[in-house]
Amino acid sequence: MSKILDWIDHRTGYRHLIKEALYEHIPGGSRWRYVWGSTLTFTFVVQVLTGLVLWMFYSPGAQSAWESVYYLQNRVSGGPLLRGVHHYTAQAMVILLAIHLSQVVIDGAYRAPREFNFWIGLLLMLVVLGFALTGYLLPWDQKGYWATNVATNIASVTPGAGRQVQQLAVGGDNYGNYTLTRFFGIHAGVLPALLVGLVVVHLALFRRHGITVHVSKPPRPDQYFWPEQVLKDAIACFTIIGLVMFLAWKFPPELGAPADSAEAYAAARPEWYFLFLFQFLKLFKGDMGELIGAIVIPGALMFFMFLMPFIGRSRFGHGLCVAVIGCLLAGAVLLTGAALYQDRQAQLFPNKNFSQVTAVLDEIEIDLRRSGEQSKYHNQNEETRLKTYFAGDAVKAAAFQSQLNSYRAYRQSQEYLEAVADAGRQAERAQQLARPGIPPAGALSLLRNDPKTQGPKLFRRQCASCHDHANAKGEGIVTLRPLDISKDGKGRPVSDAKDAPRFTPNGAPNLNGFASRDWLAGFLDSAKIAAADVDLKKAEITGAPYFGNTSHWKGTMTKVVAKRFGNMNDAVRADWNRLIAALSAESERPTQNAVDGEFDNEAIAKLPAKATPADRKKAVIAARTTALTKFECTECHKFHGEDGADAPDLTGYGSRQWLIDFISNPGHTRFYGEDNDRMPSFAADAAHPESNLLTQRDLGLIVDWLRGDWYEPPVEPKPEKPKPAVVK
Amino acid sequence: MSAPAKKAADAPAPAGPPRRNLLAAMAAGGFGLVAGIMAIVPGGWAFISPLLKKRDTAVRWIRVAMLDAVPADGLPHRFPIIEERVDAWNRYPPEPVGAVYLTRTGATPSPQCFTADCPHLGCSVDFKSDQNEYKCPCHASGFALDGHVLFGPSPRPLDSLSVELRNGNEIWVRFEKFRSGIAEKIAQ
Repeated sequence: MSKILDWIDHRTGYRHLIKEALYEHIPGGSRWRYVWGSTLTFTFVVQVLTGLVLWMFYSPGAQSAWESVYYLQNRVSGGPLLRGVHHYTAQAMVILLAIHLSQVVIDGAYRAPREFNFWIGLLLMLVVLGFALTGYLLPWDQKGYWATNVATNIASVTPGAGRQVQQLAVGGDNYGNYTLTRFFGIHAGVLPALLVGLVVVHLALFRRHGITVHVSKPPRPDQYFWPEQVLKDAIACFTIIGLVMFLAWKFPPELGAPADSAEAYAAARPEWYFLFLFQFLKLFKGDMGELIGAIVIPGALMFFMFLMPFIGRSRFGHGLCVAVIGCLLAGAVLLTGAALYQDRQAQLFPNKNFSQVTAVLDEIEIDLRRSGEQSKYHNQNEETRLKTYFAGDAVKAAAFQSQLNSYRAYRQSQEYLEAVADAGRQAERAQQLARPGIPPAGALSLLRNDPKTQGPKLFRRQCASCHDHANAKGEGIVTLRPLDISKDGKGRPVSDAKDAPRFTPNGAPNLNGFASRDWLAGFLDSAKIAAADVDLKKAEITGAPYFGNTSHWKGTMTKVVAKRFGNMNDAVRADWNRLIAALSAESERPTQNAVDGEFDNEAIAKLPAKATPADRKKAVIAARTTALTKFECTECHKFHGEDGADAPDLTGYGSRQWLIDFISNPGHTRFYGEDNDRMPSFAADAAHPESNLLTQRDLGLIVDWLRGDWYEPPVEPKPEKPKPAVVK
Repeated sequence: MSAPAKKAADAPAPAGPPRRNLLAAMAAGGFGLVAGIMAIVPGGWAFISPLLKKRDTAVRWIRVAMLDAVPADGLPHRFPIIEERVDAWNRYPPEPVGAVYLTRTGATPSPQCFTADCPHLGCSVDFKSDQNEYKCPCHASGFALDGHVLFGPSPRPLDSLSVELRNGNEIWVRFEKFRSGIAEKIAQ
C-alpha cells in the first residue's frame, strides 16, 4: 500500500500539498473566531453541489422556468429539500459575509500587506450579491419577476451606461426568454467562474500573509490548522448546514404564481437581505432621488470600502473604518426593521383604533354620496379633501395630520398584507391547475383561462358597478351605491311614509349563487325580492339582493311573487320548493349536481325499466314543467314547450348557454325585451366581435365563474398508516 | 529519458542577439493579443447583441375598449392592453401585455389615459377608489386623479398616453413604455 502511495506521491507530490493545506501554522492556536472564512467556503461548495443538480431539473424559458421549478418542488422526490437547501444556504452566505467582513475590518486585517486580499474580498462580496440578484429571478414567479424588474430599472438610472447595462441584463427591450437565459448563464456560469477564480487568489494570498493574529493575554501556544482549527471549522459548518436543512425541511421555499407582466403584483418585495436598500430608496424623493439613493450613496460607500486599506493606516483612520462598517450594519438592521414594521404593523397590532380619522373620512364620504358632483370634496384626493374639511382651522388640521399619517401607514400595511394573502392564493391556484400537467403554452395560460382566477377580476371590471357578488355574510365583491335622490319625483320612495323622497335605482341583483336553489329561494320570497335598505343619513342603499334597487322593484314579477308566495300554507310551500328545485335544475350548476339528480330521479323512477334516454329526458322536462305550471309561471315565461309571453325565457335558465346569451343581449325579445333595466348588451354583435364590450372568451370566463364551474383538484386522501397485520 | 535530451534541458538558455529577442517579444505580444481578441469577439459580439438590435420604435395604436365599457363617473378604470407579442423566438397570440387606466367624465367624450406602470421603478400602480388616489405598492408613491405626485419617491407624474376615438365608440390608445426613475418622460 505504502509503495503505491509513494509511487503516486513521486508523480504528484500530493503529500506536500496535504501538508501545506493542513499544517498551516496558527500563531496563538485555533480559535472559534477564525471559522468564518471556512464556513463561507463551505457554503459556496454546498451551493455548487446543490446548484449543479438544480441545473439538471431547471429549464430557462418563459414557458418552462416556472414549470420546471414547480415540477421539481412538487413531483420530484427530494426536490423541495434540494431547492430549500440552495435557497437557505444563499441567505446564510449573505449573513456569513457580513460577519466575515466586519471581522476583517474590526481586526484591521485590511491593512498592509493584505490590501489586495481585502479588495478581492470586496469583489467576492459583490459576486455573492450578484448571485442573490440573478437567482431571485430564475423561478420566474411574480415575486422574482417584479423585484428583479425594479432592480434592472434601478440600474438604468445610472448616468452614462445605465441604459446599456439594463439592456444587456434584460437581453432585449422587455423581460422574457432572453432575460432568463442571460440571468441563468450569469448565475450558473459567469459568477461561479468569477467566484472560483477570486476565491483561489483570496485563499492563496491568505496563506501567503497568514492569519491576522488576535493577540491574547496571556499568550497561548501556537497550533497547526489540523486538527484543532479543522475541528472548530467542521463544527461551525455542521451547525450551519444543520440549520439550513432544518429550515428547508420545515419551511420549504415558496413558489409564487407564474410571472405575468400584465398582472399587477402588489406584494413585490426584495429578498430580506436587500430590504434595507428597498427601504432606503423610499427616503429619496424628487428628480434626482433615485440616482442618489440607489446609485450615488451605495457607490460612495463601496468606494470608501475599497479605500479602507489606506484610510485605516492611522489609528484614527482605522477607527473611522470600524465606525463606518458599524453604522452600515446598524443602519441596515434599522432599515430592515423599519421595512418589516411598515409592512407588517397591521399584523402586529390588528385592532389599532383610528376612529377619529375614519369618522372624518366617513363624513366626507357621506357628503360625496349625498351631493355627488356638487360636493365640495368632489374630484379631490384624500389630502385635499381633508384640507377642505379643515378649511380655516390650521391648528386642527395640523393636529389631524399626524394621526392621518399613521392611519395611512397602517392602511398601507393592511393593503400589503392583503396583497401577500392574495399572492398566496394565486400561487396555490397556479399549482392546483398545474397538477394534472401543464400544456406547452405554460402555466400562465392555465391561470389566464381559469374562471376561478379571472372571473372575479372580469366581474369587478364589467359587472360590479351594478351587481354585487357577496355571500350571506356580505363577503365578496360589494360596491357601496350612493343614494341618488331623484329631482323629478320619479323612482322608488325611500320609505313607505307619505311624501317620502324618491331615489333612482342604480343597482342590480347580487349574483352570488345565481340560479342556485338558495338564490331562487330568496328571489321568490315576497319579503326579499324587492327589499332595499335606504339610509338617508348615510345616503346609501344596502340590502337590495334582488330587484330592490332596480326598475323592477314594482314590476310584474315582484307583484306576482308577493301575491303567490306572500302567505304560503304547507302545501303551497311544498310546491314552492318543487318550483325552486325544478327551475334551479335548469342551470345545471356543477355545485348542485347531487340535489338536481334527486329531483330528476324522482321523475325517472316512474318510468318503466326499459325507458330510453330520450324518454327519461322527456319525463324530467315534464316534471319540471309541471312544477312551473303549478304557479302559472308559463303564462308569462317560455319554458321548453310552453309558449309564455314576453317575460324572460326560462328554458335552460342559469345554464352556461343561457347566461352567455343573456349577457350578450339582455334586451333581446327572448329575455327582457323592452323591459330591460340598465343592463348593456355585452356581446350582441356576433358578426363584429371586435365591437363588443366583452370577448367570447371573457364572457365564458365570467359565466363559468358565476356558475361555480371550474377545475378543482381531486381531494387526495391522506395516506393511512398501514395497520399491523394481526397474526392469528 | 534519453541522455541528449536531459543534457539539452540542463543547458543554459541560448542568449540570442537582443534585437532578435525584441522582435520575438513583439511578435509574441502581437499574436497573443490578436489571438486573445479573437477569442473574445464571438462571445462578446453575441453578448452585446441587445445593444446592436434596432429598437422597435414603431408607434403602436391599440384598441383598448369600447367607450361604453368606461363608465362616465370620473373615476379611473383599469383595462388590459391586448397585443400580439414577440419574445425572442416565441410569437404569442394577442394577450395582455400591460394595463392602462381610463377615466371618463360626462364633460369630454374622449377618456383620459394613464399607463399603469409607476414612473418610479416600473411597478404596477393601483387605483384606490376609497382614497381617490393611485398608489404604487412597491415604494409607496401616490398620484392624484390628474396624475400628479401626491407623496412618495416618484420623480414625475403618471405617464399619460394619447387617446383617439375611432369609429365613434372605439377607444384607441397610443401604447408606449417610458423610462423609469427619471424626471423626464422619455419613451423607452
